[in-house]
Amino acid sequence: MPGQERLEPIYGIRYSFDVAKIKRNYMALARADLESLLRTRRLDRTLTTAHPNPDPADEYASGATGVDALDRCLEGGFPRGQLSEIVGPRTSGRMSLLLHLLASATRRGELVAVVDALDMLDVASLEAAGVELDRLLWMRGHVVTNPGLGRELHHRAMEQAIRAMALVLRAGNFGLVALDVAEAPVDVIRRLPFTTWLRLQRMVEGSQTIALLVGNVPMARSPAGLTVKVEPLGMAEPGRLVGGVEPCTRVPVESRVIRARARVPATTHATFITRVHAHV
Amino acid sequence: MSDRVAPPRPAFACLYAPAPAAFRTPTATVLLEIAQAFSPRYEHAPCECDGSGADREPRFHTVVVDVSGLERLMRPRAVRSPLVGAAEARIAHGDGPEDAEAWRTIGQELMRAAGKKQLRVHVAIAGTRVAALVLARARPGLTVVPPGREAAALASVPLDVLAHVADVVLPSRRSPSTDRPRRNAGYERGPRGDDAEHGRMRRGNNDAAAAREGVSVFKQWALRTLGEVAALPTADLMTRLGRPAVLWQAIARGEDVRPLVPTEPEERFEQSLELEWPIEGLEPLSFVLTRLLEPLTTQLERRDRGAAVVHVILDLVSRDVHARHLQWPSPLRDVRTLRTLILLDIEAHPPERAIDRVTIVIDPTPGRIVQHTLFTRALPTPERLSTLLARLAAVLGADRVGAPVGPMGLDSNRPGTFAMAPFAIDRPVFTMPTSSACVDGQVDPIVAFRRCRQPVPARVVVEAGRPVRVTSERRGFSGGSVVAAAGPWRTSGHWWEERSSTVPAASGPWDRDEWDVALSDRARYRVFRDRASDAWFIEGIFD
Repeated sequence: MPGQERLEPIYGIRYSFDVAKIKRNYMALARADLESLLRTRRLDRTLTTAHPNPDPADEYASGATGVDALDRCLEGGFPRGQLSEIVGPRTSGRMSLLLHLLASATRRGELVAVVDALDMLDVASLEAAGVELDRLLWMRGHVVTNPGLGRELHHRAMEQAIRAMALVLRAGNFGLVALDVAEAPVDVIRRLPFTTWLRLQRMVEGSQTIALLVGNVPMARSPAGLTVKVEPLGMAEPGRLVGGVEPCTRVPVESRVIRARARVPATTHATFITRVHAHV
Repeated sequence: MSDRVAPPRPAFACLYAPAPAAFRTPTATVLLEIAQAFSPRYEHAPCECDGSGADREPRFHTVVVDVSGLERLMRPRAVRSPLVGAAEARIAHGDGPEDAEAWRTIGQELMRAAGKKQLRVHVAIAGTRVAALVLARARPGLTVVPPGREAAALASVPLDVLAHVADVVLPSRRSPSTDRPRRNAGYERGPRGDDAEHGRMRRGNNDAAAAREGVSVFKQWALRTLGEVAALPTADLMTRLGRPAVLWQAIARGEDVRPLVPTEPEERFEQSLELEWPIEGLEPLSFVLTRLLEPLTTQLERRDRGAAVVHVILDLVSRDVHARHLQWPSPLRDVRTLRTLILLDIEAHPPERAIDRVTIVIDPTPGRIVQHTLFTRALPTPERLSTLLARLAAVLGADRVGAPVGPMGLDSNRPGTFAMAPFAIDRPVFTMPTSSACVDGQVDPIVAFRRCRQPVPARVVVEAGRPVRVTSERRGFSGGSVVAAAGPWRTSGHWWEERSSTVPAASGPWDRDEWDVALSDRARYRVFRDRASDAWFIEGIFD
């Protein structure tokens, strides 16, 4: 019979083995051992899919965005200890979502940090979003003003920003650390060594920090982090009301999970509304 | 038969120096040196201040030394100081001639020590602190009161002395001297005398004023000496003059109303190292700093203090001094953290020449008391946070790292105005009551704004008073036709200042019309027309 070997009797007992089955069992055991070792040594999860399903209500496993629809879509929020991304084109609502995340984290009592690579953060927007400014560490990159030298200056600003983010991740105990490179040219991002994001991912692994990149296109492609793409639904009337009147202009934004591993089924999407604030 | 030695009889020596004006500051120093030579337990009490406000200077100094048990060490000596000879030493009558003789020897030694330092002092030794103080204030030369005869010795003292000693004798209401932050002499930025000492003298003056009122009442009652006050019935005295009168009577009887509170000597946290060979670069300096900081942190640990401010003084080979003053949001005393912070600062501000001598001076503050709890989130330790901020400042610049302060906390209406505050985790959290986002529950995200700190020049085509096309030569701003526009909103400010350039600046006057525009590429911008130069700029992007 193929696949079976009959062995000579030992001490009068006859044994029969299924070699293919034994091999399969050994492979399964070896795989389980490897996954266990990888988990124990906190190596990245590139080789393993064994990821425990976190409790969506456990705020130590994930950080809620504060947008119900998106939190349901992400099964609790952005995972802690992973490098995630918010990407989208200009005026897509990526900054709005980041500010809402910052506000949610500071309301939970966490310290947050924003590496503002090109120094474009608007403090009035922070206040309007409800971010507790005392809990925000703001790191401002250098302003790029000379168009002729823009390329090199952008590159230097990017290197400084990534170095600053690495320092904050290494210090630990921040709830959310975000790197905003949304307005940086794509070619400047592409000039960065591909190991940059892997290094940041390794720094944040095992910690309680949500590391977040905000950009035009997916950059890190972290195997265990999430990539959420946001884009506006339709065209909203620009406008603002003054004099403390509640503004009525609302901008619908669709967020789509375009990359996830094991936890969240990819290509899930949620729609939320951003509103225009009178004092921004 | 017991071998136990009987506890020493309480004995206090008081040195009172009515210093002339030219010797004000040295008087205190000399008195303290004399006191330190005789006993580690002494109390310094400057009193009767001149001037007002921060420049108040004590006119007289009094030091009370606890000389209990000293009579066993010092044998009576026949030699007497010439200063003692000028004023007849008085020994009150009483029992205990051996102790009195020993105390007299101690007093003579104290006067001899003062005479060597060209200082004329009154010395009184008694079994209570109050008696020694009053007698030193009232009688020149050396006065020795045998044990148990304090009230009798004070009986003939004039009543006016009560007002002079009340502020020193009465119960102290100051905080212990060990709890107040100190500044090292030579590097302090405030007035020399510390605030706690001035506060204490101010409170003491209140006691003295009350005592003066009491003395005037006693004089109206035809009382002239402390003995007559001591003889009054206590209950009746309290009924008429209140509780302070009981304390005044205790002073008149020579009874202690509070124990002696020893003055702790000023401790300096300073280490210096003169190098045989000048050093350059951070690596050799790191070793030197470690060597200097280790004993300093041990000293801080022993005194339960932390370093809030560190002065690094580098003497260079060019005879120049390169001084750096580092201040942190919370006190530290970890060698590695301090060394890293100093090195980061020196790296950012390097000396021009090689270093000849390194001096570290620390301004100590009380150590941190941290109550940890399981119910709050872990925050970075102050050491780690200080190191992080120093490293970030080295990478980005000190003015580009911190916590933002928004327009609500600033007195300005300029668009985009903000400030940076030092990031610290022990500050009280400021909550914004006006923001709707602070309310619990689901709140929609607001449309955020990305601000170009330097407005981007733009070309805007205007038709019928409204922008219809926005373009820019700046890389990344392609522009397009305007799909929708809202505006204009006119803002202006600082019109009384002179305008320095045609380009809108972060300071100076502004006068502009703002538009929010949605372009055909689905991007939304805020553009404005500068009314002074009639030029258009992109202020930022809605995102």
